[in-house]
Amino acid sequence: MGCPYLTVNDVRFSYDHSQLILKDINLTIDQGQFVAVIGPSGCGKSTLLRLLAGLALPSVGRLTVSGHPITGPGLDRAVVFQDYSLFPWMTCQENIVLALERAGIGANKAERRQVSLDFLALVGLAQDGDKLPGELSGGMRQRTAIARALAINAPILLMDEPFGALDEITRARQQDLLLDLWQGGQEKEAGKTVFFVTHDVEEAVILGDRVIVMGTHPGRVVRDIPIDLPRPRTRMGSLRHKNFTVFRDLLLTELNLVVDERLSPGLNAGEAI
Amino acid sequence: MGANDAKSRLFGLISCLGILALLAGAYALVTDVFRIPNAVLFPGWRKIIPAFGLSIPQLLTGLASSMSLLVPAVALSIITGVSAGMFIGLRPRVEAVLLPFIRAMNPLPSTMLIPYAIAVMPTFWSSSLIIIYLGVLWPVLMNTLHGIAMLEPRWIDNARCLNLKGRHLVFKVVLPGAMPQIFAGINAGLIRSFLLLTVAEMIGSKAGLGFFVQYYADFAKYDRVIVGMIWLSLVVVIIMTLFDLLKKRILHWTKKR
Repeated sequence: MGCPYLTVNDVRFSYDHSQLILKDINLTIDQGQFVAVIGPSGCGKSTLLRLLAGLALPSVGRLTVSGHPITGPGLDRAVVFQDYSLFPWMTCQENIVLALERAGIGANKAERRQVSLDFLALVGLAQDGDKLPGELSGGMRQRTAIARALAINAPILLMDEPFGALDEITRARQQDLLLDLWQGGQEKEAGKTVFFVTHDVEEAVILGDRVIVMGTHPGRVVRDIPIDLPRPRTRMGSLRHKNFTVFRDLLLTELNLVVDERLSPGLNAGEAI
Repeated sequence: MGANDAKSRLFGLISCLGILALLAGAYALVTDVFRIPNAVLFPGWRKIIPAFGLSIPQLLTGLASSMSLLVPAVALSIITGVSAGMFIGLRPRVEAVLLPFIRAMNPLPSTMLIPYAIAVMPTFWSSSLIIIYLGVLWPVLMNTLHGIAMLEPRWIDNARCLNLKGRHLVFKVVLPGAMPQIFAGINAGLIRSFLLLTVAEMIGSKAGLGFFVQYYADFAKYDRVIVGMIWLSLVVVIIMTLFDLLKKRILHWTKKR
């Protein structure tokens, strides 16, 4: 831990030289760090995640994983999207087995089926492997997607508002589950590095070692705030911690500044490309 | 959900049979009972039912003959249409070049090629095969391309994150994802194929279901013509029902999304 692992250097991104989506992004993420990224819609936080995933390439600048430039998607980076992470024509187990097959885990089909069951059990879905994603609730689908991401044992987890479409209570449970799984992993030698995009301030504080606040027009990093709440955390434990509201208010203030800036006319006139 | 499904299917079957029975009854009333229309053109059930019994061997050989043409022609168009669709649809540049051509070919009636098919191909079977094949190919191909174009971008992202390439990408993602649209294309193609089959058989064949109808019409044996029509309808309905069952089975996931 403590060494630069994921880096983003002077990255700009735009579609076809039109409007600048991301401007001069610089980030260094240590191995095993849980980074939450927050910002108003249109700030390019999902685009930044796509760049890290290798699903899109930067217009200018470079991104690296332990020194190697990112040139495309790879199984070293598992991605969990808000929804549609699973193929709807395969059962949950088949979805995980396919991912394991691609990641070269398990010697044969039977072994991969066993591994997939183990990870489904880990997220509390031992009984639901044979179901299609469409037969599950949104929360269960996301748990399956998380099980798949963990099963392929990627050192990096990229999560794009994975709990964004869930109701309050389900979301709270998923946060606790994710904390549990991730903190469990930290006890081993190399914990997973997580890049977690959200639009929920409390979620960012509950989960993140650090929260990156992004602004719009163009998308850029505004603040980078370490969240030194004690680990291991639970959702309730963090909510009740005396510093929780300090962090939450700080983030809300930053977000308000970003939005105010956007609402006041003329201020961004000079930002055009 | 299973019980309700079966219930509504049973209701559909019963109401369908009920309407058919009403139509048959009305036909009996105007022909057998009141003898209103021309008795040669519209024979009553009294004549049709015995004619059916007498025709059974011919109907069965006709069915075998028709199927020996329809099945290979449709199978060939599905196989080549879907494969060509996969090949073209995954190559945007190739698709940009070919799509206008495919779009233009799709609505053309393949029956216009009959004179050439007969002149060039050695047998009735092979010339009809070409006509049916070309009629079914274009809707299958068009819809396969459409299905690929309509794939959810997330599925493609997902496939890329899993490093799915080549045949894995085709068989695990593109083909199943495009399957609803492919089935729509096959459905349209099948409907065309029945039309083309009967046309081909009425024009140039010595056997088959279309031939049976045309043959007895030439002798003004309209009881046999009606027997042929009923038999043909029955065959088409059975094929489409089996097709629907297959579709439901393969596309079961689309109901639960």
